Amino acid sequence: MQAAAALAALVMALLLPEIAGQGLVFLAGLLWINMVFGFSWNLMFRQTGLVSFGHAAFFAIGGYGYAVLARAWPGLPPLLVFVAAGALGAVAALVVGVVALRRSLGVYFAIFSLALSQIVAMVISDLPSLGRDDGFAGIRRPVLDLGVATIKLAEGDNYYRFLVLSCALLTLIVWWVTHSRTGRRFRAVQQDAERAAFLGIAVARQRLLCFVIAAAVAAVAGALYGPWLQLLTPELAQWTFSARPILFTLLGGAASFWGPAVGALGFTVLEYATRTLHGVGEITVGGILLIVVLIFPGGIIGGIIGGVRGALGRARPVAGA
Amino acid sequence: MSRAPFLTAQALRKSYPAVTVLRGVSLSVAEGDSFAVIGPNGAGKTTLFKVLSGELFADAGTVTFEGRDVTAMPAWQRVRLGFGRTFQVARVFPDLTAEDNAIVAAEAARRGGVSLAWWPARSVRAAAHAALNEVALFERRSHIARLLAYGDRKRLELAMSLILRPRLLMLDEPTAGMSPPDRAASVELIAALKQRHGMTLVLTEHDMSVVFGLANRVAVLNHGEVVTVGTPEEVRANPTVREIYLGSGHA
Repeated sequence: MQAAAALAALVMALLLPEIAGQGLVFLAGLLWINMVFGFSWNLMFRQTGLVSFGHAAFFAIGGYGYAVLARAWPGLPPLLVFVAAGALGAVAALVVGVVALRRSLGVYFAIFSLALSQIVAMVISDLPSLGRDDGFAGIRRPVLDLGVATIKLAEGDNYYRFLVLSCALLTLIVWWVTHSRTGRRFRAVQQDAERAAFLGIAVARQRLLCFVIAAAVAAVAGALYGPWLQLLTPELAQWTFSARPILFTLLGGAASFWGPAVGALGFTVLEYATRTLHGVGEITVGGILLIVVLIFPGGIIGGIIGGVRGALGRARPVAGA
Repeated sequence: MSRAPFLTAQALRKSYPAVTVLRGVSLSVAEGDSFAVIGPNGAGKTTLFKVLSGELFADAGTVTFEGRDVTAMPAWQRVRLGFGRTFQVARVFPDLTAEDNAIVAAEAARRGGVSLAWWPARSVRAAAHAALNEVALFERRSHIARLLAYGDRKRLELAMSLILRPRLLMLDEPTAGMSPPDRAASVELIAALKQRHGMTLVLTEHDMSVVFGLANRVAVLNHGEVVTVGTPEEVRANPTVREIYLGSGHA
């Protein structure tokens, strides 16, 4: 059921340029990236209980990492550069995680991660080679040489389709990790770390592993973002950007794997619908999000499941009636 | 009969900011023992239990397991040496089914590194089912753990510990919160499992019928010090113990 729905969504996403204008396709591209960014944050939160307020740091590291590598070594295979950007995010998370996760959890880790993202933003703002506050512009959409065929991603909707397939692959990776034996260990740590330790599970190591995987996925999402917008700015590492995957997750429902995707869709629709409300657009979006989260603490998916259960309960005949 | 020390504690000391809880506790548990630690509230039983299992580290002193110094070893490493542990209030993974709880334990028992196989191996499932069967929970394997009755959660926790094939099983108040009939059934089950798996038991318990029903050796703790160690009969007959702990009514 889930697989069929996901496959249908993938086909629709790939066919979107056939029926929609450029503006909508551009927005859809951002949506797929946002969904993957949300999945990567919820991988940490849902599976190991880690709350990061600085996840954007890894998105930015991947984005800038890709842009710098692609510019410095234009001859490198683009797929390798995307993988390298992910590896850069993973290594950064490993270094941060070894220090941060050993010493702090909960709100302390959240603040530590927030500080990290602000430092990354400041470094980007200070480095002329990264474009400082003006941004890193002119990021080219690469040419894929697959041996049997060469695909110019800058042409037509090629990059969009590459983006869709890449995001689908990243989603599959996160889904697979979530449902694997490793994912079950993560979940055990989130449910009761002490009990997990008394099953011989190295709790700190599992948290670190989950953090590294989530950072690598966010970094690849960031790498995909650069050629899509063809511009990167330090805001990508700011706390406001870090708030996005949290918002997607809470809006969609943290308890469900698909929660961040539903949240990202809801958020994008809201942003699009209020784009003409100059000056009050953000307040309107914020207000609506607040109301939704207050009414449905389990997010949209939690609300739908609760509604369906309630309806089924009402429809069930009462014994003796 | 002389047996080699299996688990030893040497001069363990542990203090919290306002109070010293363990004041040089030394114990020796032989392989095959059912060793109970008893004492009045505040005697330091729970802290001793935590230090022995690796949940807390002692400020001073040593813990050895089969001659190996495990004092600075965290719990998960001790588990890999053969420790198992249950908690006073049963700790299971509340949002997972009883079967998934057992599967997590069975997969942990196999160790190994990162695995991306999302289906549990047949042998893992078989081990999980066998353990659930041993504690008579197989029929309720699809129940979410937090919705199980308290006694069932206790038995699920026991099954999860058993899957790891521990040679030393530490039971923190194994019958706490149970009704008298459930307590008796639990004592019977633990005794049978000990026999079947050839484990050494270390337990704390408030209920003296449970202690004297399970233990072949008993240590009495008071104010963070060991008052006496002996057979249940010796402890029962010890006048100091009767005075500080059991009271004349138990004599």
